[in-house]
Amino acid sequence: MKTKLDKFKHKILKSINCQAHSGDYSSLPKKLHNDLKLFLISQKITKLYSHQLQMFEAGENGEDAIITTATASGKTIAFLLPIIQRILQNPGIRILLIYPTKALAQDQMRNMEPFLDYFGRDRVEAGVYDGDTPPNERSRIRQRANLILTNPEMLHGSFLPNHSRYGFHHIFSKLTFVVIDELHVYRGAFGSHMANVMRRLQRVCKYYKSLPQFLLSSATIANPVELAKNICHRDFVLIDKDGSPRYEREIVLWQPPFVGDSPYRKKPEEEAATLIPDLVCNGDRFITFCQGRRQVEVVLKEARDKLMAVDGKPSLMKDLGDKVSGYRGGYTKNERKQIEKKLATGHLSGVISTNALELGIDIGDLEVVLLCGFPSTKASFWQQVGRAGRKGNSLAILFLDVGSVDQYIALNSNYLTDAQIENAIIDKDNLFIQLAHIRAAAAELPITLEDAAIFPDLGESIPVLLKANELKNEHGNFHWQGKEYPAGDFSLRNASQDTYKVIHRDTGTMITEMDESQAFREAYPKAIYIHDGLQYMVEELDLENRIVRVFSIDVNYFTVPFVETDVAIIRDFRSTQLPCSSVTFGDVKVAETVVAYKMVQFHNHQNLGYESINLRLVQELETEAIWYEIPPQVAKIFETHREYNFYRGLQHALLTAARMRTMATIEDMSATFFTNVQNYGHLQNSYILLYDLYPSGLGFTEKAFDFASEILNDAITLVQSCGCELGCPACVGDYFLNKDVVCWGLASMREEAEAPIEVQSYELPVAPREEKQFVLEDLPQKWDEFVKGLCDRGEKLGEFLAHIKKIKVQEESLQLSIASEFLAKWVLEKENKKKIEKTIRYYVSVPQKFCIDVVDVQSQDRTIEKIMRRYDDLKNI
Amino acid sequence: MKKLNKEQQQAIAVDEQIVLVKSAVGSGKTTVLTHKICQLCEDGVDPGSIVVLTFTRRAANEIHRRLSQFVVHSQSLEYCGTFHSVANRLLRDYFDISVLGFSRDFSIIEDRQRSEILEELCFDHNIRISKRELRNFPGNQSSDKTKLLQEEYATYKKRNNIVDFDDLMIYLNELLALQPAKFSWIIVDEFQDCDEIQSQILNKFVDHGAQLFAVGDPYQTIYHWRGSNPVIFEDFANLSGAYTTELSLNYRSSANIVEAAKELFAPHNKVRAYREPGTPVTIKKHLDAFHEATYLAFLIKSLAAQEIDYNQIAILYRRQVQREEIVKVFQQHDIPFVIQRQVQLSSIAVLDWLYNLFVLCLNRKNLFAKRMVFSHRKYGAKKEKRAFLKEKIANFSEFAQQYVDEDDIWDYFALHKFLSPTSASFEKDQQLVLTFLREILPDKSRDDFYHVLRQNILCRDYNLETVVDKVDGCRSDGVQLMTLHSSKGLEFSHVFIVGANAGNIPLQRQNLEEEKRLFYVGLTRAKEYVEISYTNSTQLYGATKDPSAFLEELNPSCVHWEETDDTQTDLKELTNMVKESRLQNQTSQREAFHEKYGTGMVVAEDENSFMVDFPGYGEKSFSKVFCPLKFKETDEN
Repeated sequence: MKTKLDKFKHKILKSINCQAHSGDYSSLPKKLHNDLKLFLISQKITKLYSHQLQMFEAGENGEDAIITTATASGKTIAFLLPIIQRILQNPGIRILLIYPTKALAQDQMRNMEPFLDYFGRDRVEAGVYDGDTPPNERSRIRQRANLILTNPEMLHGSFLPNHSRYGFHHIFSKLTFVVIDELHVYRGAFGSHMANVMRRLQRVCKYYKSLPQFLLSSATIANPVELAKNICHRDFVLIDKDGSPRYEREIVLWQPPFVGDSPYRKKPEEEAATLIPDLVCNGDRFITFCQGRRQVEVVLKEARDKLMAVDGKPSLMKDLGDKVSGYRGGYTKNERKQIEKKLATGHLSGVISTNALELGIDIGDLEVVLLCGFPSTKASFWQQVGRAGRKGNSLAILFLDVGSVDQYIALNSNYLTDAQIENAIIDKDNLFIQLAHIRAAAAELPITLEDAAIFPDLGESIPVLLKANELKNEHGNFHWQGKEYPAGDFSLRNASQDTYKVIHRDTGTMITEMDESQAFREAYPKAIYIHDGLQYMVEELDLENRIVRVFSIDVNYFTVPFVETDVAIIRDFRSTQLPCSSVTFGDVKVAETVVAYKMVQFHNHQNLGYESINLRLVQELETEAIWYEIPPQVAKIFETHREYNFYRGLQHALLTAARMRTMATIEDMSATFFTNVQNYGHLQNSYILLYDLYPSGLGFTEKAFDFASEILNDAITLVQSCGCELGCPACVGDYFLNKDVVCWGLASMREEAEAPIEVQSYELPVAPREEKQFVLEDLPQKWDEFVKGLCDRGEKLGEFLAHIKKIKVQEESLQLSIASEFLAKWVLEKENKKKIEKTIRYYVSVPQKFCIDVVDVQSQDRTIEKIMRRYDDLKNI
Repeated sequence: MKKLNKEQQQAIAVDEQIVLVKSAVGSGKTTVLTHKICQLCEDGVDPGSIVVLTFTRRAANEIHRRLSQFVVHSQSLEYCGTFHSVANRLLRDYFDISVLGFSRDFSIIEDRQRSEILEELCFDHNIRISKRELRNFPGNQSSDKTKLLQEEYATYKKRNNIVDFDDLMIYLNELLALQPAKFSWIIVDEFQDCDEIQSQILNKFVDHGAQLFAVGDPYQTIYHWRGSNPVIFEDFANLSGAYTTELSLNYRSSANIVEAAKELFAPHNKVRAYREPGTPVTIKKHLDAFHEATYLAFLIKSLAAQEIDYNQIAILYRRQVQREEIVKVFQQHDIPFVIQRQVQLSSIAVLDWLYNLFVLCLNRKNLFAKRMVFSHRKYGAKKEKRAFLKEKIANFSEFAQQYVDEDDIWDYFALHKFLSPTSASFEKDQQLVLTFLREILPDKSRDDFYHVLRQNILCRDYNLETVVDKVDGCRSDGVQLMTLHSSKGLEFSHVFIVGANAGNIPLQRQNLEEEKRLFYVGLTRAKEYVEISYTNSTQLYGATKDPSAFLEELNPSCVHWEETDDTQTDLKELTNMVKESRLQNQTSQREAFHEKYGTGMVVAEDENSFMVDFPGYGEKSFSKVFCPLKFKETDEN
């Protein structure tokens, strides 16, 4: 690392140093097959890392093992040693290697090539079997490959349903090892599905009288053994002591500066682009991870622009623009080899990639990793960081985004290094998922009594399936009578099977698919839907045909749905007391109605107005949840300040904390608050509810219940130590909520706390904004321009304000001339006054105590008099 | 002697020159036939002058077996056997075949050898002919090329004193026209299967003064595709001195089976059931062939538990490929089975390859064998392996000079290299090779391998069925697996006809009437129970997911067609149903207390009322509005 960060010192919040350590080696084990020994020596490997040896021994001893060492610690060899050892003894055995993505399987296939070349096709044959594999290659793999690289979807949709056909039976009857790489990816709904796919796999293996051994790898998470057991239904040996040498690694947290005087920070991409020229000039090789394809393009373009203008290069010389390149999924083998070669020879300084490439894909030696924003989980973070430093010291720079997790990290950098925090959660017994797999399993093999041990809800499901005519009792076994391919009824990664197709209006092409809840929340009419970094506006949401019609658009705002939530408690399972509150875990029914949306400007999150939605978009979800009771004294004060909805602040903070604990993403867990539960009869209480976003729950909140008080503490820390002054989207979800109040609300659950004085005299904080075109003093001169702008934007009060011809500024107030006493009174009515003030605050830079007033009412009295006279006349007739 | 019924007695008693017995299925055809022979012997007819003709070795053996129970010495029936075996004997012993240019010690070649010879002739005489034409040779259309080949082939055979199977019939027919043949009776079994040349042969016997006693069932004509004459009964009935009689009483199957099957040929089929009604014919639908086989595995286990012998159960299929799934499943479930089949060497790729390797070792100039060994799609040898194999073939004579066992041979050729050890087929191929070698290598022979090879392999003195049966793990007392065709003439207590999907039964593009007769044959094999199944999805070429049209033609009053409602269910709906039933279960666990009745369990609940069961008082219903009950929730947690 030659680049010096000194000149960016002011932007650097913190630097975490990961110490180098030397490797822990052992000599090649005696039991190692002689040919395998010769192979390793031919690869210049004369000793193994301790974890590789452990894995080999686990393999030899018939143990199921999970390895959680860092990326680039030689995991491929760790897996392959016990496997190849067994293959050399009997080339007829079969090994399934399951990777979460196609790209990763392809990449791992490349890593195996030295083995294949060395041992020859008579001994080791391998192949990637996925949706893209052509038929003749498929049949070759089924017939001859002993290493079969595939993904969960293929296993679920092709291997298992066809176990008796096309030669799959041979694979199952000879299955000796099942390798699951990147186990931590199997969390949430995907993980729950995976656990059931493994149930089906083991059931089919049992039929073919095979008992495969499991070898797993995972990034560092808090509960690798628990997750492995949940997914594979076996007990695992944990191999977590990394024996590979570690070079020194520095992790730098980079806080982008504010834009001018505004309270808004620069985007991570912008900051990355500023640093890249330095890296290029100093010859440091790097990879930049961006959140989406569009961000890649932005960084690439900005970095190139800057590189072209680097001083000291004669203009006639080729500029430095082609020293950086994009690098994304979907490149062919050759293209990738080209890029890697260029990186190695120095023709290329760095690549800019999307997150999609993080999973185990090897790009060669790099010194620097730039991360534009924190990737949603820590596991991903470390994986991205691990791309550099395979052969020397390295640097990782995390450019923080404004999101709550990023800003939390800014304050609690030990979150990154503390392994005990992220739990990968699945609920393998989720009824919906289980039932889907019971049906698939029944179509694979008739259900026998033994299956009751595999699927815990089998006893309840069979009578229903019998009633639905999908099963038939034949001599005490249940045979599938339903449709041909029940495994096709659902997908492993999509939560619900009611998928909506997003279709481009002009081209008719399908952009993506989404489930119903996502469609309701993101694709209501006029919503701005963002996919792959491109913006679309929703023209129509067709509920009947499940189609979302969109067209391309380029606007500077995004839309946020306004969701009304109804909560009904079905039953509570467990409850625990906090010092001044209680937390309950149970089944709830949450009905969400998307009633309106707001338009929010990009980057500064300025609210551009609300629109209501005419479609009835209701979704009911029966799921698991935990609910925190809000202490009555807090609720009382919150209720008196209803205009601010402090509940939302509590909800935001608790949800953020809970998500970090359970590795839940925005698709896994949500939160709301509710009051006055009928069931409880007694005093009206208020609660913050955190719930799993999946029918019957996926175990996120169940896990959160175990950490209820830790989550509360985290939430308090999160709000307390946020860098903002009054409250911001990062800590309390909004600029309009006073964070001291929110913090007090949270703290009151933990201990009796004094209400902050602000609560009594609390006033609306000024909404900060970046580009206000008007200042109060100039407003009288620019009034016409101002009201025209309002009308153009469709602001509701625009027409009314345009009607007012004259205004005056008096110190901190704006005086409107209104030609009617009644109208003046009407305007000054509390609600209306506030609305007008709010609208003006949006667009005009005003002092803190800004208010409006009404003047010049005499002339209007005359009109009133005239009306009164006419009225009297009428009375007299 | 078993008591015969009136029809049977009458059939035997007739003394016309031509007696045609149209015998319905299961009506005791073989019984009548054997009784006739006994009768003749008792009447003083010389057994040596009786010719008994069958179509299968199995049927011939059955006749021998039954006759041996009577006084008659079946050995004295010199000319009793299949058409071909009898012809073989007649050509060697009875007629003078030298007029046709052969000597009595001619040898018979199998179809495979025949095609090898044809290939070689094409090669030697530069006759360009397609593989397909070669397979169908001589075929219907005769081109110049096929004519030339035919001439060359005929010359070749005479020069080498060999005949093929077809020749046996042709030469018998020719010699019958040229030379006298004094036989008193010709007895024919399965008369309906006679083809054109066979009926000519029978005609000629009759012309020479023999009496003909032919038994058969026109509804069991299933070899039309092989040239059998569908109107043979009519043809012979029109000859002078012909008498036709019928056996119509079925003793074999329970009445439901007979009545159900009979309907296929209503109103002509006159078969009548003798037995009690029994169980109706069952029709079932399964998900696919695997589930069909799995279902059968479970069912057969429960039948075995009811002490029904495995070999009294038959599974019949239209196509050989259907067998694979059944074998696979039965192996998993440890159900013993035996496969009725005939195996051609060419149908077992690895043995075919190995055979050619041996041929090549003995004659390195054999181009066919060379091509086969080195360029085989699966086992062919390339690059280093090619050189290796060439060397082994060159040094073979040295290796073969000693006594060897199967492992020596395996190692000498390093066969594991050629059988691709990673492949799914490796294990089975290995077993086939080793079993095959064990089969051809005599137990305690001190002969060198060269000798053994010449003797056993080239002369094909081995039984391939034994080899494949061993590898498949067949057991003679197991469930009988066979095609509908091979089931003819057999009977079982339980019969399962699988894969009765449209497009498979009847098989696409086949003669519909014949397919129907074939299905009829299958159905009528059963004594007690028939179950027919079709599958919702099928891998069989040309088959659809619909049931066979023949199923509709069975007599509906004798058929139990299991209802198969098409289900349209939604995963979400099902989940809700499970939840509801869960809640219902919970209500049923609720305890209710009543002042007078004490504590009871809630058994039902609807919008307006509870139903509670009180011990001693029975079920009481209470309105929800005025409910005098107190509830105690039983919480699982």
